[in-house]
Amino acid sequence: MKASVVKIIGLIALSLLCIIQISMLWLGDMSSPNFLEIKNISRDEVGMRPKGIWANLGLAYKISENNREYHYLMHELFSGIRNEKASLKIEKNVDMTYEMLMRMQGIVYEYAVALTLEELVGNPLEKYDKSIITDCLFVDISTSSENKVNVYLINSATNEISKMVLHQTLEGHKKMIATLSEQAAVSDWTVYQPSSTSDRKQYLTNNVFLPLISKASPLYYEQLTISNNLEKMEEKEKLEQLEEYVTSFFTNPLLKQIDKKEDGTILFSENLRAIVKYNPIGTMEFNILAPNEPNKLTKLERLQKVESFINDCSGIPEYLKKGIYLAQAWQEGEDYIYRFNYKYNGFNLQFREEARKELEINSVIELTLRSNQVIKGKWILLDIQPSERAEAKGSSVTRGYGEIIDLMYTLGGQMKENNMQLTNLECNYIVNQLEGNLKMDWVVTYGNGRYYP
Amino acid sequence: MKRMNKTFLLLAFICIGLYAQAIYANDTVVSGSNMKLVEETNGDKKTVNLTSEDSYIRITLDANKYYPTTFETQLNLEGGAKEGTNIVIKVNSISTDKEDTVLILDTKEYKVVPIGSTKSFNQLIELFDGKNEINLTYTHVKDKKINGTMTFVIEKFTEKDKSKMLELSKPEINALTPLK
Repeated sequence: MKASVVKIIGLIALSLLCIIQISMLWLGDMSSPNFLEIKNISRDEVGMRPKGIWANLGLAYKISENNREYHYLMHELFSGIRNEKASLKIEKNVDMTYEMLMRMQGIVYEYAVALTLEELVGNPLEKYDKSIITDCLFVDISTSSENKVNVYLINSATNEISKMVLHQTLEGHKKMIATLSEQAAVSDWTVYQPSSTSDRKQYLTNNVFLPLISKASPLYYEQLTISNNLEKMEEKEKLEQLEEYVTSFFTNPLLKQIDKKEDGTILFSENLRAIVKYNPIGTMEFNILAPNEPNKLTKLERLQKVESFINDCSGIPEYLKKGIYLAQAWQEGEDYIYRFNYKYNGFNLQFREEARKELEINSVIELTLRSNQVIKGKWILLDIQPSERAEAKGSSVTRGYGEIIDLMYTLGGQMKENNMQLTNLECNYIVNQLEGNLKMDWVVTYGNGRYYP
Repeated sequence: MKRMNKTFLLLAFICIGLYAQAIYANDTVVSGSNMKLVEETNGDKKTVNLTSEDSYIRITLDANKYYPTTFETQLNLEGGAKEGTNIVIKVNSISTDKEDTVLILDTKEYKVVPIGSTKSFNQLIELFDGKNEINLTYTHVKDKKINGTMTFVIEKFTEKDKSKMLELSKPEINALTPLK
């Protein structure tokens, strides 16, 4: 009797082990570049979207948000940091420079705003130094081993670099570097030179990834068109579309008031509690009357509130949600203001001053948080899409960064005399009108201004 | 005891291997024409620059990456020159036969943008497997310098060569570590 019971238990145990091992074998294998599709990851879970993700192998490659790998890498890193929990130790001010880092193979996450680690990850983290803010993460693959990866946190304003050890494998990150090392995989990718390891690093304050462009190897880009398709619709259709956009603002959407003005502006309101306004130039703005409460959310909670607002807002176009990233965040009295920029396929859209003045807007999305709620906001409602014209294919930038630096040096007398440095130079889609094609060209940030050489 | 002996032997081999690698890597004897090696020290960073004899062109050699050998297919060739110089870079895939004659197997040409106010240039070039003869032709109209040339050789190793090199320098490690 006893013998047969033991045998049965043994049989069940072995078959369970078999099932577990087979599932591990099937689902644990990452040998192919097709990473498993990660569906239904809420924005909160993934973490703060970086301005750019780069794979540095001496020369670097950009991983744009159109690649599945972009989302997989973010998920892998941030869940790795979350899982570290109790043993998360950050060593402040290690003896490391940007130049030394760019000589190592690794994955770089660039942000436009410096935040604390838990703000980047999107969840509160225990027992770590909250005074460390970073706007650039470097996941060091060159010295990584099984269950140990060094992650450097860089603050480009102060040049402070801190180091964190993750007791994770980060298999996806390793695989990314290995795949990109094979020439075949990147034969038509644009190659970037990290400025801190280049000859011209003295002309730039921080590390910038400079595309290696020349007449022999131009930067081909997808031409985009911008237009206000709402204004081209029939009145009825336009109103229907707008009503779809504003539903999330009202508790009783069917009872809202619609007020059409002569200049084309349309106001949607509900007992003056919420007012949503559509401007025919191509923007939407809203104002919510909220009871005055003292602000008791933490910085992280405020960020989470803003992020989930964007996620849930029916008024913000889907394509916009996919490409935006936090560009500025600051406090004015009781208000917390957040500005977002937009990038398409890895390239930022730079709205020139005349376009911004016409739209009467400061950034692609601007939100204000007060009394623990997002109470005010404005964003663009224009349609930005790939152009369908035949000549649009094969558009390219042919000037290299050297030419641009030379131009700035010649034109900016101050720069030459005072050994001043450029903050940034990159290729952006330039928006200088609200209807038509968008071309890509160099945008230089120097001092407080932007230049378009 | 036996384990300790094996560990010491392993350490000895590692030391010899690293020493050998260091010697090999330090060999910057460059074959070419119209050039000299100039060493510059910037603080604690040393750079070795290949400069043309008439000091018109300076190529920046990364002190951490030992030229003329590399594993990379693409190279951002950086350097400096006088403002107004026009440079054409030719990359020739060469091989030397038994009689030491140089055979050009393939070639690529790059026209560099004329040198501007920052007196520097950079050009992304593609290297062929094996020996690459880099030929820079430079012209400075004002100085009446026409078609000066500077040549040097960069050798690009393939993955096969890499594993061969590793095998030769660290035999004991290969015997102990399991093959992945």
